[in-house]
Parts: sequence; C-alpha cells; structure tokens
Amino acid sequence: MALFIYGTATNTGKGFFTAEDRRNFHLRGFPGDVWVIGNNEKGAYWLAEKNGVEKTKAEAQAIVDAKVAEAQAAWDALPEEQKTDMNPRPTQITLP
Amino acid sequence: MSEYKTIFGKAVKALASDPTDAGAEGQIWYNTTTGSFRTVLATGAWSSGAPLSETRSELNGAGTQTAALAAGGDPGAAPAVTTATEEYNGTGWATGGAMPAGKHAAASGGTQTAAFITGGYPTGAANNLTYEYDGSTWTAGGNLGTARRGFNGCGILTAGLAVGGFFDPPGVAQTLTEEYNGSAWTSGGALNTAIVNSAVIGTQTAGLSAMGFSSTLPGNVSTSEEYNGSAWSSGGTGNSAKSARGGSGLQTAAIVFGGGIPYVSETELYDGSAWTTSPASMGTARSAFASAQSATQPTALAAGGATPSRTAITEEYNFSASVVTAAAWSSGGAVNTARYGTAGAGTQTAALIAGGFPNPVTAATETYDGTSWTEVGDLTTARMYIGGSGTQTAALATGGDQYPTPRYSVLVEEYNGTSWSEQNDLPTQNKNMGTCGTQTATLSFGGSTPAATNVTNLYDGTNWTNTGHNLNTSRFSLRGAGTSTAALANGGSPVLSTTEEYDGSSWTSVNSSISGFDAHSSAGTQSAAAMFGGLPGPTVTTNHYDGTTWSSAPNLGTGRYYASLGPIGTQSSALFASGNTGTVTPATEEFTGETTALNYKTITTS
Repeated sequence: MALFIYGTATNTGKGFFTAEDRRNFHLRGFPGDVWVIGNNEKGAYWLAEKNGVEKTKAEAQAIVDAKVAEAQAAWDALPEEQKTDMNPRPTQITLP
Repeated sequence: MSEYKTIFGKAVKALASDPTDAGAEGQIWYNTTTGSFRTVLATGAWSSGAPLSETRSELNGAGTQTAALAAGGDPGAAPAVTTATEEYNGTGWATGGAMPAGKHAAASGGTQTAAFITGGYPTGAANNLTYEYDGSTWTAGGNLGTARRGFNGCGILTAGLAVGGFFDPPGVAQTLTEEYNGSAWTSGGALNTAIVNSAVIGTQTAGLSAMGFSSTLPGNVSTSEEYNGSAWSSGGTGNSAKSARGGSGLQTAAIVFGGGIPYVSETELYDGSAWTTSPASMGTARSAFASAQSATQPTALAAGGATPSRTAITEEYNFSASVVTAAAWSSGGAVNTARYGTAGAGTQTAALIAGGFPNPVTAATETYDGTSWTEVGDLTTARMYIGGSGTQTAALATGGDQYPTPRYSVLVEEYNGTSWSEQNDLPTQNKNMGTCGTQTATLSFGGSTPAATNVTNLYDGTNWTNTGHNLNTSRFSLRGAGTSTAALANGGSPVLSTTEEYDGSSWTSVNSSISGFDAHSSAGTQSAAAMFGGLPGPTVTTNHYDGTTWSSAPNLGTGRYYASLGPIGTQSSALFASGNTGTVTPATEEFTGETTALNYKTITTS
C-alpha cells in the first residue's frame, strides 16, 4: 500500500484541517494547493470531504513544479534591488 | 434484582456535571444535565507525540516513555547510518550526544542516563562494539562475544541482555544470548528457536523474546520465549507473526506493537501466559523503530521506523483513565491580503498583522479574533520586514523596509486598537530584527542595517535607547519571545540555531535550537517559547524551548517563510499567519498544545 495519497484541495481557512485531522493522518501542504496525505481511511475521507481531487504522485509533482517555475519566473522578473537575501529565489520542491 | 446501593453500600450520586478529579475512575454517577449514567474507565490508547528531528529506521531505543533515548539508525541518505542521539522528555525530542560511530540494527537497553547499545553495523558486516551513554556522552564499553546485527536487548546498563540476531556472514538467525554487567558480556542460555529482530522485554533475569524472524522456520513467527537468567523456555504464542516489533513492560505484563512485513499497527498484550490483541492500534503501521521500556506498567513509546519509507513519527501508548490529546497545528482563517514580512502582535484569538509585501509593500493592517481576519486602520507608512510587539489593541511596529526607498527604516508606529500613529524614531535604521515585549516596553535586537547588527534597543513608550547590551552574535532574520527584561533571541540568517537569553542587562548564549531557523516566526516567553517555519525549505519544523532545553514539536501543515515578525500567542497557543511558500499565501495556522482529560463513558444497557 502506498504511504501517501496525493491531491489538490483549496484551503478554505478555519476548519480546513483540524488538530484532530493532524493527529489522524500525515498532512502537508505545498504550492499549487497540493496536499500530501497519509494513506489511511481518515486521510482519504478528508480529501473527499474537502472536494479534493486525487492525483498521482507524478501529477502532483508536476503541479508543484509548475507553481515553483511560475514563482521563479516572477522572482527573475523582479528589479534587482528586490532580489535580496531576504527574498530568496523559490527553490525546487520534491514531494515525499 | 440487586440494587447498586446494596452492592456498593452507597447510592448513585446525582451530579450536574462530570467530576474532573482522577478519583472518579471506577465510580458511577448520574449526570442530571445529560440524563445519563456515567463513569470513568481506564483504557489503552496510542496518541501521537512530537516527531524525531532526524527521520530514520533501524534505530535503537532505551529509557521510559517520559525519559527515552533514540540512537543511531538508518536515515536513508548516504552514508545510510547516523550517530545521532535524541532524548525524549514525554513532550519533545532534544539533541543528545552523538555516538562515536554510527550503527543500526543494534541491540540496546538501560535508561536515558545509563544506556547501552551493542552490535549492529555501520556498513557491511556486523560488529561487536558496545557504547555506553551517561546522559550526555557515549563511551566505549565491553565488546560483545559475537558480532551480530538484527537483534534487540533489554535490562539496564549493569544487567543487560542481548538476544538472537544474525552473524555476518552467512546471515543466518542465531540462538545466542549474551548478558552484560556494565563492563563485559558473557554467554547466557541459548534460545530454543534461532531468532532475528524479536521484541525483547523485561530484565536480565526475567526476560521475554516475542515474535521475530527465524531463518530456520518459514519466515516470521508468533511464538515467544521466557528467560529466567540462565535458560529460555517456551512462552505463549501471539496472534501476529511479525518481526521488528516494539516492546515494553515486564515478562508477565508486556506489550508488543507494530512490526512487519507487511507493516502493521497491531498491539498485543501478554500476561505471562497468553497474548491478546488490544483494541488500541498505532496510528502509523511500521517496523524497525525505537521503543522505550516500562518497568512498572505497560506504557510504551515508538519513534521513527520504516513504513516502508523512513519516518520520524513518534507515538505514545498509555493505559490510563485519562485521554491524552496530542498537540497539533490546524488551519485558521485566511488573511484578506496575502503577504509576507508583516509585523505581528497579540494572541492566537486576538492577533494583529501589519504591513508586508504583496508587491508593492502595503500598509494594510488586519486583526484576528480566532476565526476570521478583519481589515482595520492602515499603518501611516507602508513597509515590510517590520518588527512587531504588544497586543492587538496596543501594538508597536518597529523599523522595516519602505521599498522602493528607504530600504532600512527608522520609523516606529503605535496602534491603539483603531489607528496607527508615528512615534519617535529608532536610533538607527533597521529591518528584519527580533522583537518582543509590550507597546511600552519593547526590545528590538539584531537586524539588518544593512549589515547584520548585534545592537539592542529598548522602547519605553516614548523614546528608544540603545541599551549597550549587544547580542553575542550579530544577525538578521532572527526572532524573539518574552519580555524586555526576560527575552529570547533565536535563529537568523543563514539558517542559524544560535540562541541567547536576555535578563535586562546582558545577553547570554544558551543551548542552540535543534533545528536551524531563518525568517521564521515565534511565540511565547523566555522559558516557554516556540519557533516555527521559515527557511530552509520552507520548513514545517517547530521547536519548543523550556528555558533550558529545546525539543521537537508537531510540524506545521504548510511550510513558509517570512510570516509575521514578532511573537503571536504562547507556546501552547501560537499563531502562524500568511507568509511565503514560494508563492505568497493567505493561509493561517493555529497551534493547540497537548491536553489531558478523563476518559468518560456513558453507561448503556446494550
């Protein structure tokens, strides 16, 4: 059985994920509304309940890659004076 | 029909609410509010704990659930063995002394301050090296008689046991038992069945070897053997044939859990003759994790392991009348203007953020009531990387970056719950500093001027004074917690773990945080602080400080950097608002600390 479920879901704010959710299954958010969710019954239910769309790992990684590339392009287009060490260029993210 | 009063000698009490004292365990009362008979029952349950700082499998454990040790293991990345030691205090993991050389698949036993780890291997063949831990340092102990790996131990440093395992070569399960006296290993009685990775529980003179893998039988076994200090005899047969399980307890009151393959979360209990499957299952099925022992009753701890991916997850088992609800971050209301580099102030249910960078910089201010954010009066001057302090109705915004110019600001503003007003300037321009305290007693330390500075300035509600009490380490992107006379400074660029305490007259270097932090956020006081998020990554890491020691705490849901500058909330009730994941996000997260409550049950006729 795969360790994680991959999916997209829009963070609707308060109550989107609860402390109980965090105790019941692994959950970590990434750019592009991508969520990596522990592969158990409660994790799967959470994604469905949030009107999420399950993705393969490759699909989820592609979404993150696209968002990071978009952010990198936006960063590259910034005036040089905004490219400081307090505003680092977004780096590649590899999903677990 | 017998009456309760006849059996118990007293009538059932009628109470308007459930009693909250532990003495309620086993009692029965009638709750007049809910109209039900109620009691408190002790049950076994697993709950999540703070994760290990280093993800790994095939690590070793020692100690108890509230004073445990996790050492060595396989972190996956080359060189696939670690020397890392972590100490658990029942709440979080702190860094311990590193082993002289990394090893995994070893045997271990003892306590957090008097432990042994023996055998195992760094790479290639197993070795016979033993290390002893005194609570801070590992030193060499006596060598095992036979080098081996894939085995487990129990007992204490001066009366330890190492059971079974593989030789290298040829990698065949063994019946070997060795006993340790704190300086030398001697041969003990041989197991009846050669075994690898059994759960080993109890003491040198009353040990238990449960389940495991036997290369002389077809794979995993569910049998157990009992040791009396000289010989092994057959014990009860368990319900699940698994190896690399965790174990805790005594020969006559044991618990084993997890294991593989396939990876399971099952828990089994032993009473000295028979095994029963507990209704309590681990939250995460896994094997090859660290477990701590309990000498009094079956409490247990599982940390790290293979799922099959390596994990840092920690779980605690308790048989108790209390239900422990683990700490966790959860989602909060989204801010109206997503941004990063804001000033932050207040509490989790009465917070404020101001300014920041949504391109261009903004003067927007928002307040949070624990549910939703509301736009309120703007800063008089838009800027980012602003130091924040105070409360939602009496906040201070210090310095910042007034992009496009000036990039380093001297501006200071006070918020009165309705509007911001400009106050006397900082002595020198500064941004991205650490701040803490109240509106009338704010401490600002470090920052970028643009050079990294160590200067500490104090605001008294009217004027700023350079205290002359410099940080020991100049830095920016650090964060603060506490008050102007009891402050904490942590982290900074580039990804520092450096920590200093301020007592009103000087900064003192103290223990470094477990993780390096840069552009992170903070909450709490000098003796109960939280640091979370930031770079590198962005990271989801949270560390807690108790005034002496740092420990790991539950991870954020989404890592981001340059969320609010300035502490918001307490260690057990923190807020993480907006920030940068690579793209700016409006998301907010709230931390809820661990709670304990009695395990109430409603009595029904079914």
